[in-house]
Amino acid sequence: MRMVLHQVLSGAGPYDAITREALAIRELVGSWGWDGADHAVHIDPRMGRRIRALDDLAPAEGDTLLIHYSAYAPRLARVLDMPGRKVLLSHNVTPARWFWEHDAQIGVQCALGRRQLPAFAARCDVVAGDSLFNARELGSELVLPLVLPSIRADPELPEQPDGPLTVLFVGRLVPHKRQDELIRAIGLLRRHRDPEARLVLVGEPLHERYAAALAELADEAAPGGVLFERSLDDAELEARYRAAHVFLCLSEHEGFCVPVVEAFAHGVPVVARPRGAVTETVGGAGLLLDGTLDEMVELTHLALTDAQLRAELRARGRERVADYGIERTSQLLRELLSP
Amino acid sequence: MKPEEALERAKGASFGEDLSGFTIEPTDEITIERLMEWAVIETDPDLVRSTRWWGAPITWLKRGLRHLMRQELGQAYAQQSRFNLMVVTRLQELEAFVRDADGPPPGP
Repeated sequence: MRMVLHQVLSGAGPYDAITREALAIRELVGSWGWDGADHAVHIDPRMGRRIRALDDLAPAEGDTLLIHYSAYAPRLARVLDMPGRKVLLSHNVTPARWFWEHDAQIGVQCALGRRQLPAFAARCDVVAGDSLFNARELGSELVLPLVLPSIRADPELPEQPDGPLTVLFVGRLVPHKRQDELIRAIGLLRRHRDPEARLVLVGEPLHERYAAALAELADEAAPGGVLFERSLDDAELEARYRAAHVFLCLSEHEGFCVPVVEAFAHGVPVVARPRGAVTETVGGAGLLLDGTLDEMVELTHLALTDAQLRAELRARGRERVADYGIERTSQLLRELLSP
Repeated sequence: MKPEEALERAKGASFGEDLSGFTIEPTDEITIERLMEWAVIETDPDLVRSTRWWGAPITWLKRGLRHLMRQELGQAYAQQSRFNLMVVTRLQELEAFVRDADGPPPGP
């Protein structure tokens, strides 16, 4: 019997990690000979025809529905009444407390999403998370790490970058990812330790007003030290990783944190606060410290400048990447989706 | 140095600066004052835009429509804001009532 897999997302956008994973899964299951299509409630116009409207979803009995849950969306619940085996993959929902002051609509989606998620889980046949942190919120121990075909543990570590000392963070410019703290951190780093260090922030902003507020902070706290970039294609993003000396994450909430794994794959040492699933994703391969901003800056300085430390972290990161390689995750995916 | 040494060395670091500026703080407690602010609907015209790569004319059209509809939209916002404010005001009165009712017990 030919397997049919339909994927359902709350929203789909060109720079969204969950959307990219869904497309990667589609390609993977397609190579297995599976049929099906991918649907979303909200579709960014830039997605074109790669994702279909939820209204077009019409599964048959015997089909499998993989529901990527990351936020509330109206009409998403109707999927639970459709025929087919339902697999819930929780990507976690950011607590609304981070959005009330900045985006009411997203705050509402987050609040409703966290409220709805347990009820969703109760009506699905299989419940999993893309991290143990996410799975355990729903009382499950099933984990499917994000499917990342581009992540490969190269046998040779990339060359160390030879440009200016660069601290990198990749992620949407949103409150809980604390780019405000990253900006203050680079200001402290430049004033007290490494005057030539710069911060590169890659990500789409919550909205232009939020981006402007961060830009204003950068001008005040670290003039000339912060570069904001967005809408990078894969080659441009790869170049940013290759030019980075340290990946610094000060997020207060993460359901997985794909960029940490991407940093490992590019031989970039990772310094992070242990929040949400970051601890799990980093494992023992990075520097995790629940410290003050000053302490995080000092740790970043050490990771930037100590050759032995950098070599150790780069080696550990390379080992860690293997845990997220496509060979392993595709096997886990097949086990999760097969009846 | 080893990673474990780096962690130990970083602990206690202090640069003695008083940092200010745009700061993200999660909203954990919704006060009546905050509800009063939120009760009034005020949209941001800058958020009315198209994300398509050829979106400039669409953005112009959207903002033009918004302007043309301002009387209808203004009424809708005003009526909703009026209701919101009345609800929050009643909530404030109820809170005060409960607070007064839970006051200290009468003396001997």
